[in-house]
Amino acid sequence: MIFTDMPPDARVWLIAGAGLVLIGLTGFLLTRDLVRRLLAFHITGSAALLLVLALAGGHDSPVPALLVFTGMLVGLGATLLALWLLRRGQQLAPHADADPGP
Amino acid sequence: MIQMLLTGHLWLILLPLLAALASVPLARSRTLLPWGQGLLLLGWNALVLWLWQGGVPDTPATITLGASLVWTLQTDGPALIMALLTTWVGTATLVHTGLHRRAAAMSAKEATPAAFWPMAWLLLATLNVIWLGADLLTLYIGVEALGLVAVAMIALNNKTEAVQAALRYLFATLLGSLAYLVGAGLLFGHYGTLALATLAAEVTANGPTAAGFGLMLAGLALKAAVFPLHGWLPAAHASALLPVSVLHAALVIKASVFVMLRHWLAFAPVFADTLLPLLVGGLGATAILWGSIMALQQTRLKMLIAWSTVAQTGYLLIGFPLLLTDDAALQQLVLQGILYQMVAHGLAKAALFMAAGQLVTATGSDRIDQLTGTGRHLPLTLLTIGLAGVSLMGMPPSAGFVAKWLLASGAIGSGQVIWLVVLLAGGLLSATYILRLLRQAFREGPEQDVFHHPSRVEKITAFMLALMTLLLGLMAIPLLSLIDLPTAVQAGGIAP
Amino acid sequence: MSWTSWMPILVLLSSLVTALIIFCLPENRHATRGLLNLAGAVIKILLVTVMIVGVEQGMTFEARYTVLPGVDFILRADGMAMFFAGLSSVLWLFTTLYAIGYLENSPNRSRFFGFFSLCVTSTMGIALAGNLFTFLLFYELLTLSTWPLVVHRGTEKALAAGRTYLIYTLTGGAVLLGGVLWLYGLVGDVEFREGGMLRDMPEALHGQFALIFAVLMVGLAVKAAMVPLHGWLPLAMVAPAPVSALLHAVAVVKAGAFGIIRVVYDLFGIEFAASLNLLWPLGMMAAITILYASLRALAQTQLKRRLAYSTISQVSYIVLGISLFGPVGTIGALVHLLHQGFMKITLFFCAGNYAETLGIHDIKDLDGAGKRMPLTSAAFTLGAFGMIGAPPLAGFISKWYLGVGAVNAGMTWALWVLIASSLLNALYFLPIVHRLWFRPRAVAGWPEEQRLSQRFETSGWLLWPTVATALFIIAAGVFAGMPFSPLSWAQLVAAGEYL
Repeated sequence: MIFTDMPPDARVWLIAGAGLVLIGLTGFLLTRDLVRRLLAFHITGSAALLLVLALAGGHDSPVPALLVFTGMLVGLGATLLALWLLRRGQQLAPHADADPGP
Repeated sequence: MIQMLLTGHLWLILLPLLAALASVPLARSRTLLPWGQGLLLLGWNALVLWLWQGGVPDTPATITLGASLVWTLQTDGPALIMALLTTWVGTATLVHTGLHRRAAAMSAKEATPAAFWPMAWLLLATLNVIWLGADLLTLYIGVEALGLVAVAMIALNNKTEAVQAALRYLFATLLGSLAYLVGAGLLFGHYGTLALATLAAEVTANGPTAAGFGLMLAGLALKAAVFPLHGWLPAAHASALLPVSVLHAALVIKASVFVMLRHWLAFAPVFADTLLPLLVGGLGATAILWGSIMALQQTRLKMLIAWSTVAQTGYLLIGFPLLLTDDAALQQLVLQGILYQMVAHGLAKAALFMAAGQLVTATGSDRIDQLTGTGRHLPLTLLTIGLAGVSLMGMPPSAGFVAKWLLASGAIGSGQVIWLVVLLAGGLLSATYILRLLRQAFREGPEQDVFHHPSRVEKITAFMLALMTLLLGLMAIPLLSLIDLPTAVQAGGIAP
Repeated sequence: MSWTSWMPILVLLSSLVTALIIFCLPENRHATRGLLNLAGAVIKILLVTVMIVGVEQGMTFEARYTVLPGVDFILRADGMAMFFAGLSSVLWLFTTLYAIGYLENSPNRSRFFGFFSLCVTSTMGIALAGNLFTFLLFYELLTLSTWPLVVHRGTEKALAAGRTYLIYTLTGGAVLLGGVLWLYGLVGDVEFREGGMLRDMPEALHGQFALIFAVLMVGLAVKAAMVPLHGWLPLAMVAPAPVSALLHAVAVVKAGAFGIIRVVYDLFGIEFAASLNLLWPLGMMAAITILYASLRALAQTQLKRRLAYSTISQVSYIVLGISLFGPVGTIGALVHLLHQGFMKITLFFCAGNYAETLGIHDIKDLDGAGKRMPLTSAAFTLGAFGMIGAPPLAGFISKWYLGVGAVNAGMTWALWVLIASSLLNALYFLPIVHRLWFRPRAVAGWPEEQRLSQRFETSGWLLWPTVATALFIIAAGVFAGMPFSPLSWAQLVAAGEYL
């Protein structure tokens, strides 16, 4: 229903976004290495922004762009924070570079 | 905008932001810091009291950026109540952390890191954004900013486990926000607006709404550590610095639940006949049971308190299915109950964490079995735990009891007796772990006072919070009168 | 607010403020603490006396404010409230005196007396509560403030007993809360009024009222220690003697019994409760408790445990009296609430005296104690005979009214229960009295004798409160016909309950 109401190019974005989210999440859940996890998370995040553009578009309004823009800003902040945390973790315990897992 | 500056509600956000800026230079000087922070806190408290006196304003404040791009901030009853809680807990935490002689005498290694102060104020500012936010964009910005600041604060403790806990929390909160963002996009795509009030008026049960609402709920549940998504919480709360644990358990968790509540009021009524209410309530009930069982098995003080947070968050969720009733008066009762529970739990948990911190200072250990004899030599700290515990158990007279009374009345009024049983049993379960603490403290220990006493200011600050739970249990009208249904409906509620 | 609204508040404050100051006092300020305690107790008695006289002349003392929308906090002094308040305030004074002597040279006295005063505050709150909400508030506060007293000694045994105590009372409290919420959900805030308020409600609700009654009774029966919910009480005997005296004679068990009285008379109304057929199950439960606990008391070898089982059985006399429909039974129930308080507190004081002075805990060690401690033993004998129901002591008056009430109500089985339990009372009390006076003391001497006083058999702090409460047992029986005696007050109150 959502799908059929969409303009065709939005459908492409939706499929691409959904596929990338899946890839990202799989990577996120399968890897223990924290840097790789961060990368996988980035893929998920960017794909999610693609999804937002696809889903929220079609109203001729700047809101979807603003949502995505905010999402990008947050992603940047989060990456910096994560990198800082990773470095802190390595400084405190040089050999423990893997997440102990849930 | 100008009008909002004049009526003062925007200052709820601006003042903590300015305080965060001012704290950067302040935190460099050990002598100036207590005075400066004291002054900032005084100003903040005066502002909030003044707003409380003024009551709830009629119109929301909007900041228009474009035709369909409007930031809506509204101080309705729930927002004002949460802002009050934020002020009380925030003030107590900052006083407990640095406004006393023991803090001034600490060595550079023991002392709270300078970065704590601006971060704490930033956290408080983002919390107020969340309370006031009345559209999905504002809420998203608030929730995201809050998550990042909270992660950074947990990592302030220079320990491996704190950094690891912060990383796990970071991934959890980011994942939660992504889900929220996609959900918001979906809803905008379908309704063409992000304002909660408009959405609440236009909402119908359909696929996109269900998907969007579901994504948002799930994302927020992850951030609020709702069972079974609570895995990150105990380690994070137990390894963080004490004031960070206080703020996090008392306020940050509440923020996500509060946003859930706002969305629930707007979207859930159209899904009232599905399994959704039962699912959310059932998760709450399981959280109470599981959190209590885990709390009972902990050997470390802070872990016990952290698990109790998981259980108490479940208590909040029990109110959600009760909100879905056609009777406006009952709904108001339940909404009051949920918000009162947030206040009660916020104050009690903050007091409990502070008292636990004092016991850790006193005994030099985080282990529960080291508490032997503290009942005799640190009576005020134990009394704090006792009073806060009474509220957590929902025993009268306490704010927790008032909340339980309101929720239970709602459950009886709408004939959903099952939630009544959960509420009553939940109180008994929390009694088990609270009393385990007190029992250990009542065991006779050393004859002589061998404990390192915290400063008097610390003891009294925690006690004042506990005392507030008692007073709010005896006088519920001043807070409860802030919520009446028409305003709540305006902000994000059910069409009457 | 006029002075009449301040009175009930002041009564609460007289012990609440005492409690708060005592908590803040340093441990070694024993004299100040003792003085504060006594001052609080005396002020409370004076305030209660003023209210009793006022109520007798038809004045109302009421304070109220709204806690929650639709839920009021009400303190009101009516005849029934003054009954319990009078008992508590007088016994508090004696127990305080006794406790000061009993806890001499023991640690943690600030904590003990602080919670002790808090406990009395809750008891007074229960007495003066003007609706179920206020009652529940203080009922739970009583649970919380007595727990630290039960575990006061901090031994493993005390902690285990405290745990059992809480499991019982907290669960009972939760059940009670459920019942109260149910009632509020149905009819909103209902105040306690003479003759009850619920009978004016629509007929359609009566079925639910009966169920609510059952839930409330279960919640209250835990504290009133009715079988099978009595398990906490014998264990709680590990507490210091003044606590046992207060718990058993006044605070906890009486709070339960008083709650049952309030619900039956002033919430449902005795006539309405009778018309719903709610009284006879209550009576049966009481009868079972009386007989079962008396039998268990026979089997106990420790003095305090025997007294504990005796308490379980005696408190249910009150419940039995309630279930006897008719003014005479009501008078019996009310008057026993008070008489049993004086008798049981005397007996527990005596048990404490024997334990402190001679180190006696087991009944078999009591042989010949009458010669060593004549006044204590005389007091014990008075208490025991009172419990059995020998004239002209207080217990006789209560049993007489209960018996006549049973006959008037046409419930002859209740009369047989009374007779059987009196026989059992005699069977477990008379051997003790016999040992005290007529058996020679053991060759090995007393288990652990302490010389607590040069002039008297034991410390004056322990002795005189015991003697005083023992004298009350005689006075309440002999002067039963005088105005302001427990009996005449009970008659006054009972007259208002039947229309």
